[in-house]
Amino acid sequence: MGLDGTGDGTIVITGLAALTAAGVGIAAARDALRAGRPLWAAPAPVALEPRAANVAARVAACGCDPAAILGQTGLRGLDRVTRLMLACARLVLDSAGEEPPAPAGLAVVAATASAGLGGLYDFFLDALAQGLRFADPGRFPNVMINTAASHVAIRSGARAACLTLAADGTAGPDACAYGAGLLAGGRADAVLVVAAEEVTAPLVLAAWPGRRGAAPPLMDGAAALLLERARDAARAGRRPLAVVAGYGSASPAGRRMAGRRMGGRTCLDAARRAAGAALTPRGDAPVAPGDAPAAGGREAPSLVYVPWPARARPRFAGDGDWRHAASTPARLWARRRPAPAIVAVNEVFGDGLAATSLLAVCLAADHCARRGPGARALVHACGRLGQSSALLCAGPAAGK
Amino acid sequence: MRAGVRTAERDGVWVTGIGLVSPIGAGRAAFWASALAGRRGFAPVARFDPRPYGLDSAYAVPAGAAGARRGATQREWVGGREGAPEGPRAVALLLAAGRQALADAGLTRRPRGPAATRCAVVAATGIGASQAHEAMARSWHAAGQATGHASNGSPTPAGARLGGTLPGDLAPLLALAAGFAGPALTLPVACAAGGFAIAAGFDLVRAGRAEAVLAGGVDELSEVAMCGFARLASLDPAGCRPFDRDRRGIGVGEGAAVLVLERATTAAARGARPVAAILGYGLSADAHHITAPDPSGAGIVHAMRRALDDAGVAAAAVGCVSAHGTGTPAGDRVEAEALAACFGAHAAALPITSIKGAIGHTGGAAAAFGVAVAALALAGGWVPPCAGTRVPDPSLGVNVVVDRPQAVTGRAALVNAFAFGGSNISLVLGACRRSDGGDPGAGGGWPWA
Repeated sequence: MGLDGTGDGTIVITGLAALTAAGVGIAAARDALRAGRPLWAAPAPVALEPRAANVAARVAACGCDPAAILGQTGLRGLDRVTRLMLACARLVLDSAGEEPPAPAGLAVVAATASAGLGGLYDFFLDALAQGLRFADPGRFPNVMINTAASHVAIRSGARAACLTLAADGTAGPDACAYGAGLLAGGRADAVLVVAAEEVTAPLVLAAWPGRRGAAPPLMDGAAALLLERARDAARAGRRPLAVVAGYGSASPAGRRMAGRRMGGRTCLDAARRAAGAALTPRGDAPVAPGDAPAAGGREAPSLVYVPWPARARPRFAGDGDWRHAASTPARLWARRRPAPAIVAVNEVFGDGLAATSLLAVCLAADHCARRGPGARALVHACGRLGQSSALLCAGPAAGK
Repeated sequence: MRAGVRTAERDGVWVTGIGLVSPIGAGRAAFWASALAGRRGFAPVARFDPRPYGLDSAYAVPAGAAGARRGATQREWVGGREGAPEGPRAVALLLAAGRQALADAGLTRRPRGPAATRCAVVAATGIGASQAHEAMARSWHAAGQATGHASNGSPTPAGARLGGTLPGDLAPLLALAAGFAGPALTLPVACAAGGFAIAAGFDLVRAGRAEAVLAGGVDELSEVAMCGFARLASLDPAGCRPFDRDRRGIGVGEGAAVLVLERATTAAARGARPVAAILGYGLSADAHHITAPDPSGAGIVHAMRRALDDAGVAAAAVGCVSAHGTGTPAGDRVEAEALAACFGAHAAALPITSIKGAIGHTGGAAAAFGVAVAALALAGGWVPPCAGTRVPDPSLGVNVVVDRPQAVTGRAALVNAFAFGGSNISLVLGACRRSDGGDPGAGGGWPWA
């Protein structure tokens, strides 16, 4: 049933992978998060290969070369986002054991804000330099945002579906919910959800326009997970790490165009509705504005992953909407009594837009896998324009 | 598979409004009149010099068409001060189509309170706000040429703004403009993106997550796209000629198509008049090649069969096909052979059209235009001809509509859309009996508030 992940049996997460500045794998990311030390480097010029633009940013870059995971064959002409996605997809499929999901039933749901953008500049700057008649046709596919996902589908043989969500901070919950919907609707038997970001000068300028230096510390890297129906995972002998237990998404009901800006209240309202929907049984009931998350007898999670801590807002310069949105989930949950444990993922890894958003889901699933039955972790994400999404992960039932 | 068309009036998802900004007209009526007349929007390009790419024309939205002027739509629709920064052209086109769609559905007031939270947006694009990035790239290139080092160039030349140019900004910006406070998703699935957006909107309504969804796609005329397709030898200097004997490739186009999707029961309760109903869809991936279609067409056949099954529609009940039909020699052949495999003997009589001959390949909007054509064909009973196509390729063995409209032969329509890299989607629409009750424009809608 499309975006409804709860219509046809339980959906579980059976594989996790991450490529971050902390290293390869979810364990490295978990340890880095536990240490709580920011991984980003000092401000440095952001490369726009093969040229450099006059844009500086603090970047927590994944030091791993995707070719070390994938091998060199077939990587020529692929941009960094595609290589990161391919490597992370390989890791998560390799973690699925000796009997990986059958390609005929495998779908790819990619999430990214930067795919295609670097490719567009790479192709067009080269065309301008070489002469428009002599542009390299081999680079042109990288202009298309969906190309990275298509490469993942081609390499993995996925034939059920292949698509991309272009989102920033909400991409993790959104892509997981979309994938869960494909499973619930019988459109796929397993879904590879993968997100990657490459920090480029155009991305910095497009995502954080306005004053120079408006961008927060950024992440270059990728995350991936494997979704399956619980009964299929059990049949294949794959251990469920976490259950996808609820999802909600909302946009601010305010006006912001042509110079007008939203305030923190409209962002807070969207965040409240998204979390409320994720925590509502079946996850699809309407939640009215003002309906506080975890109110009215709803069981609150003990752990909430948010992008930035509440205190981060004054630190960021630049666009007012983004400043409000970035710290909204943390402010919302800090008000609750008793307050859950709040983990700010971007505070360690940098803002990886879609990549850190999905990394948060991976970390939440990892937490649930380690804690087992009864564990509940909510990923509460926000976008630069005030939109908000939340995904509830739960520990798998005992014995599964 | 069930025989016939499921009762769209009872459990379908209705298309209650259509907004179109295209090279052959803005607005449902103007677009459809041009489409039925076989008019083409292939005209000389003014924005950039296309001669390096071996042609002088493309499919651009004419100056003065609704929303074609950057920034105009934002100010007219949602207010704002004069002199405020103008948004990217893709945003302007999308907002214009969205506004048209809401007006067409009779939803003229912004939803408020709980009603707004039950309204969602799913937008689609192929490349996004290409023109702003092309301008930035040119400025970097010029700065690098002047100094000998691109790194010495200024990254933010006067007038070059990149705010709002990320593809993922499209859906949130449309949601903000329309006052829709539910989910806002952007699906950039290349040439099939608009189909994925409408399918996702269909799911949102069918799953009960939304009562109304603005779903559609947009792409603006892109020099990068023209340059790339020229280097892939995929452009037809004579414009797009779908399924023509002499077809040579695509014609680069621009436009936006947005549909209002509503739950049939709630739409009927407010007296809305359905254009058609979305009944189901099917997906597949070729996993074959990043630019070339799988010559076997297996993925396409699977998507079509899955769509018919999802919709509960027998192949014999399909009365027309709004084909992907890009005009490339290989792509049209694979699609025609897949149609023959899916529909058997019925394919020889089934009217098949592609709107790309009239409006070019509009990238992320193309499939949404395809759905709009299918909906309007079911509503009006006529399938528009493939503009630009003179002699259908006899070796394809399908009934390509040329010269004049053909009558729809059944109560359902199939829409195909295939993307770079092999992402395929097919959608099935059903005809609706026209409602005689109420005037949806009178109250401004939102009965579930």
